[in-house]
Amino acid sequence: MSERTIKNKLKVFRAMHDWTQEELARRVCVTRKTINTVEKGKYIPSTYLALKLAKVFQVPVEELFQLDSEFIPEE
Amino acid sequence: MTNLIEETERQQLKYWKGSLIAWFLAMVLLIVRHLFGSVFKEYELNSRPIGIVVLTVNVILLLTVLFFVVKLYLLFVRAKSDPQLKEALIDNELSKLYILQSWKPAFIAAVATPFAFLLISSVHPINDLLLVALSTCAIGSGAFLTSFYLKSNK
Repeated sequence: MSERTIKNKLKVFRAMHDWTQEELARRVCVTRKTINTVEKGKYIPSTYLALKLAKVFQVPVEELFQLDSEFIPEE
Repeated sequence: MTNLIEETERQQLKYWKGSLIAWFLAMVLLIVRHLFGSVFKEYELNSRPIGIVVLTVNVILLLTVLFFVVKLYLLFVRAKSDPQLKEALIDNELSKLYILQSWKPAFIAAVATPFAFLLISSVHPINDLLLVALSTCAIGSGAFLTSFYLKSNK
C-alpha cells in the first residue's frame, strides 16, 4: 500500500498573491504554524480548512491539493 | 501590525513553558528531598533546616505553576470571547491532533512509572502506595503536557 500523502501548491499560490504565511493564516483563521505544517506536507488539513484555503485563493480545492501517489479506485 | 492570533499563541506557549519548568523543578526537588530525607534519617542527622528551605522553595515553585495556570485560563477565556481567536486557537485542528498524539507518551509514562518503582524497591524498600499512585499521575500528566508543548513549539 502506498503512503498516504497529498501534494499541495499552497506556497505557489501564496507567492502569487504575495502573502506571508502569517497573512494567509489570518485570512483563514488559523495559526501560522498550521499553514507551515500544511505547506510542508507534514499535516493533511481537514476538508473544512482545505475548502477555506481554496476559497481565499479563489480556486477549486483540487487545484490546491492533489493526491501524491497514483490512486486507482477499485471497481 | 501585530497579528493578534500570533501574539496570543506566543503568550500561550510562554505560559506553558513557564508552568512546565516550574512543575519540573518542583518534582525534581520533591524526589531529591525524598532521597536525601531517607539518607539523613539513616545517619540520624538533623534534616529540619534543609527541609524548611526545600519546602519553602517548593511552595514558591507550586505558586509559580498556579500563576501560569491562571494566566493560561485568562487567555483561554479571552480567546473564547473573540470569534477569530476562538477559531484559530481553541478550535485549532492541529492542536486537537497534538492533544490526541500526546496521550501516547502520557500512557507510556504512566505505565512505566510503577515498573520504575518496582525496580527501585529492589534496592530501596518503598511502602508508600500513595506516593506511587501520585507519582504515576504526576509523571503521566507531565509527559502529556511536555509532549503537547514540544509538538506545539516545534
